[in-house]
Amino acid sequence: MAKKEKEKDATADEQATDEAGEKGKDEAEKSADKNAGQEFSLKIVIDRVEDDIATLVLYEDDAVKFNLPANYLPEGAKDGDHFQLFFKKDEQSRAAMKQEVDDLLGDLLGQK
Amino acid sequence: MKKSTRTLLLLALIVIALIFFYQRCLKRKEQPEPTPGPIAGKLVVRFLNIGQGDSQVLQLPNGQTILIDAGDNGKPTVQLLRDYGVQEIDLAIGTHPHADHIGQMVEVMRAFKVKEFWDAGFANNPTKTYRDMLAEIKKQGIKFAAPRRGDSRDFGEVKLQVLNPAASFIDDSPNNASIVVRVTYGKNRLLFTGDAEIAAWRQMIESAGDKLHADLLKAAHHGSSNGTNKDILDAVRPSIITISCAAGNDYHHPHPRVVNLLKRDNNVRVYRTDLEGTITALCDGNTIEMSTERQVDRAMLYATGDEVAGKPQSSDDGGAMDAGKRSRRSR
Repeated sequence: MAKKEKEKDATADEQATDEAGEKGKDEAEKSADKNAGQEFSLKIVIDRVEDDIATLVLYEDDAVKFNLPANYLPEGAKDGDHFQLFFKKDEQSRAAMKQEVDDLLGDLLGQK
Repeated sequence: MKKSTRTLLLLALIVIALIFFYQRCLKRKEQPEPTPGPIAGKLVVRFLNIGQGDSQVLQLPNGQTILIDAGDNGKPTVQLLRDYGVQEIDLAIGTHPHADHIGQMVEVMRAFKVKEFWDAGFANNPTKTYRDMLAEIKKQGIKFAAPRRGDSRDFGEVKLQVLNPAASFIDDSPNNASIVVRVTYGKNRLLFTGDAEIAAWRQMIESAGDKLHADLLKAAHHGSSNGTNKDILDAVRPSIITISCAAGNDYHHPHPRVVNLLKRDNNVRVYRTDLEGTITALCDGNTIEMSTERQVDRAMLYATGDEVAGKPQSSDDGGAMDAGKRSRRSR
C-alpha cells in the first residue's frame, strides 16, 4: 500500500510537471515548489460514486483514476464535482513516526 | 541422405518433442496438493494466494513453521494459515517494511504464537503499518533480530542463509533492504527474495554469488522488471520460478520483459499465484514436487500482468520506460 501511494505521488509529480509547462510562470513556480516536495495541487473530478466507493480522475489525464471510500469525501460531494487536491509534505509527521520507529527498533535490538 | 536415416532422425525428433512436452506440460498437472500441516521427512512450502503481495509459509520436516511475509492489510492470511494447518510460528520474517509484505503481521502475531521475528531494521520508511508491527513485537516480548548477510540458522535439517541486506543498507530503498534467504533441505535449495531490486541483486551477485544458486526462485518484487533479469537467472540457475501477484494488479506485474525472458528459458517452469492460486512445493531433500490450487493452460503462464487484466499490452520499450520510472519512484 505504501508503494501504491508512492507511485500515485510520482504520477502526480509527472502530471503536474506537464501542466506547469502549459500554464506559464506561476504554474512553473508552483511546480518548482512541488519538485522541492513542499506543496502543490492537482485538479481532480469525481467521475462516480458507486457502492460507497468514489472513483476520482485527474482533470488533465482522465486515464489516471483512483478510488477512495466515499466517506472520505467532503460533505455534499457528488458525481461530476471538481476539486483541487492539495499536497503538502508533512515533515513533522514523518519525523515523529520515524522517531517512534527508531525507538522501537532500538528497544528490540537492545541498543538502548 | 538415405531414406532410413531420414526416418530415424524424424523419429528421434518426435521422441525428443514428446519428452519435452511431458516435462513442460503434463508432469506438473499430475500432482495433488499435499494435505495441510507439516509432513514428516518433507519440507512443505506454500506460496499463499493473498492477492497483490507476498506471503510464504514453510512447514519443516521437524514440525516447525517459518512464515516469510504476511501479505497486505485486509488480506486473509490468518485464515489461510489456519487452513494449511499452522498452529504456531517458530520464526516470522518481515522482508521489508512495505504493507504488501507486512500488512497482516499484527493479525498473525495475535492469532498465532510467534516465537521469533526477523526484520530488516530499515527505519527510513516510517509508516503506521511498520510502527504497529514493531510495537506488537515489543508488546508480546517476541525475540527479535535484524539479520545480515552471512548470518545463518539451522532449524533441524533445514538451513537458512541470509544473503541480503549487507551490514549497511545499499541505498534508501526499502525494497533493496529486503531480507533475502536461501533455504536448504538436503539437495533442495529455495531462494526467497522479498522485493530485492537490481542494485541489491548486483551486490548479492558480487558478494555472495556462490550462495545464490537455487532450484526454486521466488521472483523478486512480484515479477517486476526491476526484480528479475538475465544476470539474476544466470546467477541463481533455477528450474522453478514462482511469482506472487494479483490478477489485474495496478503495477503491470508480471512485467512483459520478465515473462518474455522466462518464456525463452526452457529450463524454468513458471508458477503464478494470480492464475493458479496458492502454490505448493513439496521438498523431500532430493526432488521438488509442485502443485497448485488451480490449473491453467500453459500458455497463460506467460501472459503479462496487463494481458491477465485485459488491459492494452504495453510494448517492451514501454516497459523499459515504465521500469525506469518505477526505479526512480522507489528511491
